[in-house]
Amino acid sequence: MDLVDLIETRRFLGSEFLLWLWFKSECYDNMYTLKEHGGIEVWIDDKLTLEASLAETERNDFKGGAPAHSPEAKTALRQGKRPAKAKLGIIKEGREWELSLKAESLDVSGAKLPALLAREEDEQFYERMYLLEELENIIRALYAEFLAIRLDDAWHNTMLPAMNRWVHTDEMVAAGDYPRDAVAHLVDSKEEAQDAS
Amino acid sequence: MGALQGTLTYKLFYVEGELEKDFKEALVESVNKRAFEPLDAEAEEEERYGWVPIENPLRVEFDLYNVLFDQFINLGLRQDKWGVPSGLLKAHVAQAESEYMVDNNKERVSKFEREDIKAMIYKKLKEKSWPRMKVVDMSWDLESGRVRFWSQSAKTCELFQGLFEDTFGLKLIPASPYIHALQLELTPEQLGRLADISPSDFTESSGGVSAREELPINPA
Repeated sequence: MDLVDLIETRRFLGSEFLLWLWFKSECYDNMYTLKEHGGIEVWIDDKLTLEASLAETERNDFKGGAPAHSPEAKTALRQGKRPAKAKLGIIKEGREWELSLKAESLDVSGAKLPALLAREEDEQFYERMYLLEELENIIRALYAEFLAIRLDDAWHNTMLPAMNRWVHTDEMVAAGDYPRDAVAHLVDSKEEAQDAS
Repeated sequence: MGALQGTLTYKLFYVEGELEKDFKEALVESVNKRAFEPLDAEAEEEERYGWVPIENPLRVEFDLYNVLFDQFINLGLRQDKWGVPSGLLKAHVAQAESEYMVDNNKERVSKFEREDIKAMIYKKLKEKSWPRMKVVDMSWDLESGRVRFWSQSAKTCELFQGLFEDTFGLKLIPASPYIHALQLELTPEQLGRLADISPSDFTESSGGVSAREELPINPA
Protein backbone atom coordinates (compact mmCIF):
# COMPACT_ATOMS: atom_id res chain seq x y z
CA MET A 1 0.00 0.00 0.00
CA ASP A 2 1.49 3.39 -0.91
CA LEU A 3 1.52 6.46 1.33
CA VAL A 4 -1.59 8.02 -0.22
CA ASP A 5 -3.58 4.80 0.37
CA LEU A 6 -2.34 4.56 3.95
CA ILE A 7 -3.31 8.18 4.60
CA GLU A 8 -6.80 7.69 3.15
CA THR A 9 -7.54 4.28 4.67
CA ARG A 10 -6.37 5.24 8.17
CA ARG A 11 -8.59 8.30 8.54
CA PHE A 12 -10.95 6.23 10.73
CA LEU A 13 -8.33 6.49 13.50
CA GLY A 14 -9.39 10.12 13.98
CA SER A 15 -12.97 9.21 14.88
CA GLU A 16 -11.84 6.29 17.06
CA PHE A 17 -9.49 8.71 18.86
CA LEU A 18 -12.35 11.15 19.54
CA LEU A 19 -14.55 8.29 20.75
CA TRP A 20 -11.81 7.04 23.08
CA LEU A 21 -11.33 10.59 24.43
CA TRP A 22 -15.06 10.83 25.04
CA PHE A 23 -15.08 7.48 26.88
CA LYS A 24 -12.02 8.24 29.00
CA SER A 25 -13.23 11.75 29.85
CA GLU A 26 -16.50 10.27 31.13
CA CYS A 27 -14.72 7.60 33.17
CA TYR A 28 -12.34 10.07 34.83
CA ASP A 29 -14.52 13.20 35.06
CA ASN A 30 -12.30 14.86 32.42
CA MET A 31 -9.13 14.52 34.52
CA TYR A 32 -5.96 13.26 32.83
CA THR A 33 -2.31 13.15 33.74
CA LEU A 34 0.14 13.21 30.88
CA LYS A 35 3.84 12.68 31.43
CA GLU A 36 4.93 15.85 29.59
CA HIS A 37 2.04 18.05 30.71
CA GLY A 38 1.09 16.96 34.22
CA GLY A 39 -2.56 17.18 35.29
CA ILE A 40 -4.92 18.46 32.62
CA GLU A 41 -8.67 18.50 32.02
CA VAL A 42 -10.13 17.49 28.66
CA TRP A 43 -13.81 17.40 27.82
CA ILE A 44 -16.21 17.33 24.88
CA ASP A 45 -17.78 20.77 24.92
CA ASP A 46 -21.09 21.97 23.47
CA LYS A 47 -20.72 20.84 19.84
CA LEU A 48 -20.49 17.31 18.57
CA THR A 49 -21.08 15.85 15.11
CA LEU A 50 -21.67 12.15 14.66
CA GLU A 51 -21.63 10.64 11.19
CA ALA A 52 -22.30 7.24 9.68
CA SER A 53 -18.99 6.00 8.28
CA LEU A 54 -20.44 4.64 5.06
CA ALA A 55 -23.03 7.32 4.44
CA GLU A 56 -21.75 10.77 5.34
CA THR A 57 -25.16 12.27 4.73
CA GLU A 58 -26.45 10.43 7.79
CA ARG A 59 -25.29 12.93 10.33
CA ASN A 60 -26.35 14.25 13.70
CA ASP A 61 -25.22 17.69 14.84
CA PHE A 62 -25.56 18.25 18.55
CA LYS A 63 -25.29 21.84 19.76
CA GLY A 64 -25.60 23.41 23.18
CA GLY A 65 -25.57 21.90 26.64
CA ALA A 66 -23.44 18.81 27.10
CA PRO A 67 -24.11 16.68 24.02
CA ALA A 68 -21.62 14.01 25.05
CA HIS A 69 -23.90 13.19 27.99
CA SER A 70 -27.13 13.13 25.98
CA PRO A 71 -29.06 9.89 25.40
CA GLU A 72 -29.49 10.96 21.74
CA ALA A 73 -25.73 10.92 21.18
CA LYS A 74 -25.44 7.47 22.74
CA THR A 75 -28.28 6.22 20.56
CA ALA A 76 -26.48 7.52 17.47
CA LEU A 77 -23.36 5.60 18.52
CA ARG A 78 -25.45 2.43 18.85
CA GLN A 79 -26.65 3.00 15.31
CA GLY A 80 -23.07 2.92 14.11
CA LYS A 81 -22.36 6.63 13.86
CA ARG A 82 -18.92 7.92 14.81
CA PRO A 83 -17.57 11.30 15.92
CA ALA A 84 -16.74 13.40 12.84
CA LYS A 85 -16.04 16.62 14.68
CA ALA A 86 -16.03 17.66 18.31
CA LYS A 87 -15.52 20.89 20.17
CA LEU A 88 -13.07 20.23 22.97
CA GLY A 89 -12.13 22.13 26.08
CA ILE A 90 -8.68 21.75 27.63
CA ILE A 91 -7.36 23.21 30.88
CA LYS A 92 -3.72 23.08 31.90
CA GLU A 93 -2.27 24.99 34.84
CA GLY A 94 -5.34 27.24 34.99
CA ARG A 95 -5.12 28.18 31.29
CA GLU A 96 -8.01 27.19 29.06
CA TRP A 97 -8.10 26.36 25.35
CA GLU A 98 -11.15 25.71 23.15
CA LEU A 99 -10.98 24.12 19.75
CA SER A 100 -12.84 21.99 17.26
CA LEU A 101 -11.11 18.87 16.06
CA LYS A 102 -12.02 17.24 12.75
CA ALA A 103 -11.76 13.47 12.91
CA GLU A 104 -10.67 12.77 9.34
CA SER A 105 -7.67 15.13 9.42
CA LEU A 106 -7.25 16.01 13.11
CA ASP A 107 -7.28 19.62 11.89
CA VAL A 108 -7.86 22.34 14.48
CA SER A 109 -10.45 25.02 13.81
CA GLY A 110 -11.91 27.91 15.79
CA ALA A 111 -9.24 27.58 18.46
CA LYS A 112 -9.41 30.03 21.33
CA LEU A 113 -6.19 30.48 23.26
CA PRO A 114 -5.72 31.52 26.88
CA ALA A 115 -5.51 35.33 27.28
CA LEU A 116 -2.33 36.82 25.83
CA LEU A 117 -0.02 38.74 28.12
CA ALA A 118 2.08 40.46 25.42
CA ARG A 119 1.10 43.94 24.23
CA GLU A 120 3.39 44.39 21.19
CA GLU A 121 2.34 42.76 17.90
CA ASP A 122 5.66 40.90 17.47
CA GLU A 123 5.51 39.52 20.99
CA GLN A 124 1.87 38.56 20.54
CA PHE A 125 2.84 36.49 17.51
CA TYR A 126 5.41 34.51 19.50
CA GLU A 127 2.97 34.04 22.38
CA ARG A 128 0.22 32.88 20.01
CA MET A 129 2.57 30.38 18.40
CA TYR A 130 3.81 29.18 21.79
CA LEU A 131 0.26 28.60 23.07
CA LEU A 132 -0.76 26.94 19.81
CA GLU A 133 2.23 24.61 19.92
CA GLU A 134 1.39 23.75 23.52
CA LEU A 135 -2.15 22.89 22.44
CA GLU A 136 -0.85 20.75 19.55
CA ASN A 137 1.55 19.00 21.90
CA ILE A 138 -1.25 18.15 24.35
CA ILE A 139 -3.34 16.69 21.50
CA ARG A 140 -0.27 14.83 20.25
CA ALA A 141 0.33 13.34 23.73
CA LEU A 142 -3.31 12.23 23.96
CA TYR A 143 -3.16 10.75 20.46
CA ALA A 144 0.08 8.95 21.36
CA GLU A 145 -1.63 7.37 24.38
CA PHE A 146 -4.60 6.33 22.25
CA LEU A 147 -2.36 4.84 19.54
CA ALA A 148 -0.22 2.93 22.05
CA ILE A 149 -3.42 1.15 23.15
CA ARG A 150 -4.97 0.95 19.67
CA LEU A 151 -1.88 -0.79 18.22
CA ASP A 152 -1.69 -3.36 21.01
CA ASP A 153 -3.65 -6.55 21.77
CA ALA A 154 -5.10 -4.68 24.74
CA TRP A 155 -7.35 -2.79 22.33
CA HIS A 156 -9.33 -5.84 21.22
CA ASN A 157 -8.95 -7.73 24.49
CA THR A 158 -10.06 -5.06 26.93
CA MET A 159 -10.50 -1.49 25.61
CA LEU A 160 -12.93 -2.27 22.79
CA PRO A 161 -15.18 -4.47 24.99
CA ALA A 162 -15.15 -1.75 27.68
CA MET A 163 -16.06 0.93 25.14
CA ASN A 164 -18.82 -1.30 23.73
CA ARG A 165 -20.30 -1.71 27.20
CA TRP A 166 -20.19 2.08 27.59
CA VAL A 167 -21.84 2.64 24.21
CA HIS A 168 -24.66 0.30 25.17
CA THR A 169 -25.44 1.66 28.60
CA ASP A 170 -27.21 4.85 29.60
CA GLU A 171 -25.74 4.63 33.09
CA MET A 172 -22.93 6.96 34.14
CA VAL A 173 -19.52 5.34 33.93
CA ALA A 174 -16.74 5.70 36.50
CA ALA A 175 -12.99 5.16 36.78
CA GLY A 176 -13.57 1.45 37.41
CA ASP A 177 -15.10 1.08 33.93
CA TYR A 178 -11.82 2.10 32.25
CA PRO A 179 -9.56 -0.96 31.86
CA ARG A 180 -6.53 0.79 33.34
CA ASP A 181 -4.71 -2.33 34.51
CA ALA A 182 -4.65 -3.81 31.03
CA VAL A 183 -3.21 -0.67 29.43
CA ALA A 184 -1.09 0.77 32.26
CA HIS A 185 2.09 -0.71 30.79
CA LEU A 186 1.42 1.02 27.46
CA VAL A 187 1.01 4.58 28.64
CA ASP A 188 3.00 7.00 30.69
CA SER A 189 0.02 8.52 32.41
CA LYS A 190 -0.53 7.81 36.04
CA GLU A 191 -3.90 9.37 36.62
CA GLU A 192 -5.73 6.09 36.79
CA ALA A 193 -3.48 4.78 39.52
CA GLN A 194 -3.91 8.02 41.44
CA ASP A 195 -7.67 8.04 41.10
CA ALA A 196 -8.00 4.42 42.04
CA SER A 197 -5.88 4.69 45.17
CA MET B 1 -4.94 36.85 8.40
CA GLY B 2 -4.26 34.21 11.00
CA ALA B 3 -0.73 34.33 12.29
CA LEU B 4 -0.86 37.73 13.97
CA GLN B 5 -4.54 37.95 14.86
CA GLY B 6 -7.95 36.47 14.24
CA THR B 7 -9.42 33.00 14.47
CA LEU B 8 -7.09 30.05 14.74
CA THR B 9 -8.43 27.83 12.01
CA TYR B 10 -5.61 26.27 10.08
CA LYS B 11 -4.22 23.32 8.19
CA LEU B 12 -1.11 21.73 9.61
CA PHE B 13 1.62 20.42 7.31
CA TYR B 14 4.87 18.64 8.03
CA VAL B 15 7.93 19.55 5.97
CA GLU B 16 9.90 16.68 4.48
CA GLY B 17 13.59 17.57 4.71
CA GLU B 18 15.33 20.70 5.92
CA LEU B 19 16.67 23.92 4.47
CA GLU B 20 20.40 24.25 3.86
CA LYS B 21 22.39 25.66 6.80
CA ASP B 22 23.11 28.89 4.90
CA PHE B 23 19.51 29.17 3.70
CA LYS B 24 19.14 32.86 4.63
CA GLU B 25 20.88 34.15 1.51
CA ALA B 26 18.78 32.11 -0.87
CA LEU B 27 15.55 32.57 1.11
CA VAL B 28 14.86 36.21 0.22
CA GLU B 29 15.84 35.69 -3.43
CA SER B 30 13.60 32.67 -3.75
CA VAL B 31 10.64 34.41 -2.12
CA ASN B 32 11.17 37.55 -4.23
CA LYS B 33 10.99 35.41 -7.38
CA ARG B 34 7.51 34.31 -6.37
CA ALA B 35 6.36 37.62 -4.92
CA PHE B 36 2.84 38.73 -5.70
CA GLU B 37 2.46 40.92 -8.80
CA PRO B 38 -0.70 43.03 -9.09
CA LEU B 39 -3.25 42.17 -11.74
CA ASP B 40 -3.47 44.35 -14.82
CA ALA B 41 -6.96 45.16 -16.15
CA GLU B 42 -5.55 45.35 -19.68
CA ALA B 43 -4.17 41.81 -19.50
CA GLU B 44 -6.12 38.62 -20.18
CA GLU B 45 -5.16 37.09 -16.82
CA GLU B 46 -8.12 36.58 -14.52
CA GLU B 47 -6.24 35.85 -11.30
CA ARG B 48 -2.78 36.00 -9.80
CA TYR B 49 -1.16 34.77 -6.63
CA GLY B 50 2.17 35.05 -4.88
CA TRP B 51 3.86 35.86 -1.59
CA VAL B 52 3.45 39.09 0.36
CA PRO B 53 4.99 40.05 3.71
CA ILE B 54 2.81 38.90 6.58
CA GLU B 55 2.53 42.40 8.07
CA ASN B 56 1.65 44.27 4.87
CA PRO B 57 -0.12 42.60 1.93
CA LEU B 58 0.36 45.72 -0.23
CA ARG B 59 4.13 45.53 -0.08
CA VAL B 60 5.87 43.13 -2.41
CA GLU B 61 9.50 43.56 -1.43
CA PHE B 62 11.15 41.13 0.90
CA ASP B 63 14.10 41.21 3.22
CA LEU B 64 15.07 38.95 6.10
CA TYR B 65 13.35 41.30 8.55
CA ASN B 66 9.89 40.79 7.07
CA VAL B 67 10.26 37.05 6.39
CA LEU B 68 12.30 35.52 9.19
CA PHE B 69 11.03 35.85 12.77
CA ASP B 70 13.51 33.93 14.95
CA GLN B 71 12.82 30.29 14.06
CA PHE B 72 9.71 31.13 12.00
CA ILE B 73 9.42 31.90 8.31
CA ASN B 74 6.23 33.94 7.94
CA LEU B 75 4.63 34.76 4.62
CA GLY B 76 1.21 35.70 3.29
CA LEU B 77 -0.28 34.01 0.24
CA ARG B 78 -2.10 36.75 -1.66
CA GLN B 79 -4.62 35.80 -4.31
CA ASP B 80 -6.29 38.47 -6.44
CA LYS B 81 -9.12 37.72 -8.79
CA TRP B 82 -11.27 39.84 -11.05
CA GLY B 83 -14.88 39.53 -10.06
CA VAL B 84 -17.37 41.45 -12.17
CA PRO B 85 -20.83 40.74 -10.72
CA SER B 86 -22.76 38.58 -13.20
CA GLY B 87 -26.00 40.61 -12.86
CA LEU B 88 -24.18 43.86 -13.67
CA LEU B 89 -22.39 42.26 -16.63
CA LYS B 90 -25.64 40.83 -17.99
CA ALA B 91 -27.44 44.17 -17.77
CA HIS B 92 -24.61 46.06 -19.50
CA VAL B 93 -24.32 43.42 -22.23
CA ALA B 94 -28.09 43.57 -22.91
CA GLN B 95 -27.91 47.36 -23.19
CA ALA B 96 -24.85 47.24 -25.48
CA GLU B 97 -26.55 44.66 -27.72
CA SER B 98 -29.63 46.90 -28.09
CA GLU B 99 -27.45 49.88 -28.98
CA TYR B 100 -25.46 47.78 -31.45
CA MET B 101 -28.64 46.59 -33.21
CA VAL B 102 -29.95 50.18 -33.50
CA ASP B 103 -26.59 51.53 -34.71
CA ASN B 104 -26.21 48.78 -37.29
CA ASN B 105 -29.86 48.50 -38.26
CA LYS B 106 -30.06 44.85 -37.25
CA GLU B 107 -32.92 42.86 -35.76
CA ARG B 108 -30.67 40.40 -33.93
CA VAL B 109 -27.01 39.85 -33.10
CA SER B 110 -25.08 36.75 -34.10
CA LYS B 111 -23.34 34.42 -31.64
CA PHE B 112 -19.92 35.88 -32.53
CA GLU B 113 -21.11 39.48 -32.25
CA ARG B 114 -22.62 38.68 -28.86
CA GLU B 115 -19.32 37.19 -27.66
CA ASP B 116 -17.38 40.26 -28.87
CA ILE B 117 -19.79 42.61 -27.14
CA LYS B 118 -19.59 40.61 -23.94
CA ALA B 119 -15.76 40.60 -23.97
CA MET B 120 -15.67 44.35 -24.61
CA ILE B 121 -18.15 45.10 -21.80
CA TYR B 122 -16.33 42.74 -19.41
CA LYS B 123 -13.05 44.57 -20.08
CA LYS B 124 -14.69 47.98 -19.55
CA LEU B 125 -16.21 46.91 -16.24
CA LYS B 126 -12.90 45.36 -15.16
CA GLU B 127 -11.13 48.66 -15.74
CA LYS B 128 -13.64 50.41 -13.49
CA SER B 129 -13.38 47.89 -10.66
CA TRP B 130 -10.84 46.51 -8.21
CA PRO B 131 -9.87 42.84 -8.04
CA ARG B 132 -10.94 40.87 -5.00
CA MET B 133 -8.01 40.29 -2.67
CA LYS B 134 -7.56 37.33 -0.34
CA VAL B 135 -4.54 36.90 1.92
CA VAL B 136 -3.86 33.78 3.97
CA ASP B 137 -0.87 33.61 6.31
CA MET B 138 1.54 30.75 6.67
CA SER B 139 3.98 30.25 9.48
CA TRP B 140 6.79 27.71 9.21
CA ASP B 141 8.41 26.71 12.47
CA LEU B 142 11.90 25.67 11.39
CA GLU B 143 12.60 23.95 14.72
CA SER B 144 9.59 21.64 14.75
CA GLY B 145 9.24 21.32 10.97
CA ARG B 146 5.55 22.25 11.23
CA VAL B 147 3.86 24.65 8.84
CA ARG B 148 0.55 26.23 9.77
CA PHE B 149 -1.53 27.64 6.95
CA TRP B 150 -4.54 29.66 8.01
CA SER B 151 -7.12 28.11 5.72
CA GLN B 152 -8.71 24.69 5.44
CA SER B 153 -10.14 25.20 1.95
CA ALA B 154 -8.90 22.27 -0.15
CA LYS B 155 -8.39 24.48 -3.22
CA THR B 156 -6.44 27.16 -1.35
CA CYS B 157 -4.36 24.55 0.50
CA GLU B 158 -3.46 22.90 -2.83
CA LEU B 159 -2.40 26.24 -4.30
CA PHE B 160 -0.32 26.97 -1.20
CA GLN B 161 1.31 23.54 -1.23
CA GLY B 162 2.45 24.03 -4.84
CA LEU B 163 3.81 27.54 -4.23
CA PHE B 164 5.63 26.43 -1.05
CA GLU B 165 7.25 23.47 -2.77
CA ASP B 166 8.31 25.64 -5.75
CA THR B 167 9.76 28.29 -3.45
CA PHE B 168 11.64 26.14 -0.97
CA GLY B 169 12.22 22.93 -2.91
CA LEU B 170 10.87 20.85 -0.03
CA LYS B 171 7.80 18.62 0.06
CA LEU B 172 4.83 19.41 2.30
CA ILE B 173 2.79 16.59 3.83
CA PRO B 174 -0.70 17.52 5.07
CA ALA B 175 -1.38 16.27 8.59
CA SER B 176 -3.81 13.36 8.98
CA PRO B 177 -4.28 10.60 11.56
CA TYR B 178 -1.74 8.42 9.72
CA ILE B 179 0.85 11.19 9.27
CA HIS B 180 0.47 12.23 12.92
CA ALA B 181 1.08 8.59 13.87
CA LEU B 182 4.31 8.54 11.86
CA GLN B 183 5.52 11.56 13.84
CA LEU B 184 5.28 9.57 17.08
CA GLU B 185 8.34 7.38 16.54
CA LEU B 186 6.42 4.11 16.62
CA THR B 187 8.20 0.78 16.98
CA PRO B 188 8.50 -1.47 13.90
CA GLU B 189 5.81 -3.71 15.42
CA GLN B 190 3.45 -0.77 15.91
CA LEU B 191 4.10 0.42 12.35
CA GLY B 192 3.24 -3.07 11.10
CA ARG B 193 -0.03 -3.04 13.00
CA LEU B 194 -0.80 0.49 11.81
CA ALA B 195 -0.59 -0.78 8.24
CA ASP B 196 -2.88 -3.74 9.03
CA ILE B 197 -5.62 -2.45 11.29
CA SER B 198 -9.20 -1.91 10.22
CA PRO B 199 -12.03 0.08 11.85
CA SER B 200 -13.44 -1.30 15.10
CA ASP B 201 -17.09 -2.14 15.55
CA PHE B 202 -18.61 -0.32 18.51
CA THR B 203 -22.14 -1.52 17.86
CA GLU B 204 -21.65 -5.06 19.16
CA SER B 205 -23.88 -5.23 22.18
CA SER B 206 -23.01 -7.63 24.96
CA GLY B 207 -25.99 -6.57 27.06
CA GLY B 208 -28.77 -7.17 24.57
CA VAL B 209 -29.58 -3.50 23.95
CA SER B 210 -31.22 -2.80 20.63
CA ALA B 211 -28.80 -1.32 18.15
CA ARG B 212 -31.59 0.14 16.04
CA GLU B 213 -33.36 2.68 18.16
CA GLU B 214 -35.12 5.59 16.50
CA LEU B 215 -33.07 8.76 16.54
CA PRO B 216 -34.53 12.22 15.98
CA ILE B 217 -32.73 14.16 13.24
CA ASN B 218 -30.57 16.95 14.63
CA PRO B 219 -32.29 17.16 18.02
CA ALA B 220 -32.16 20.62 19.59
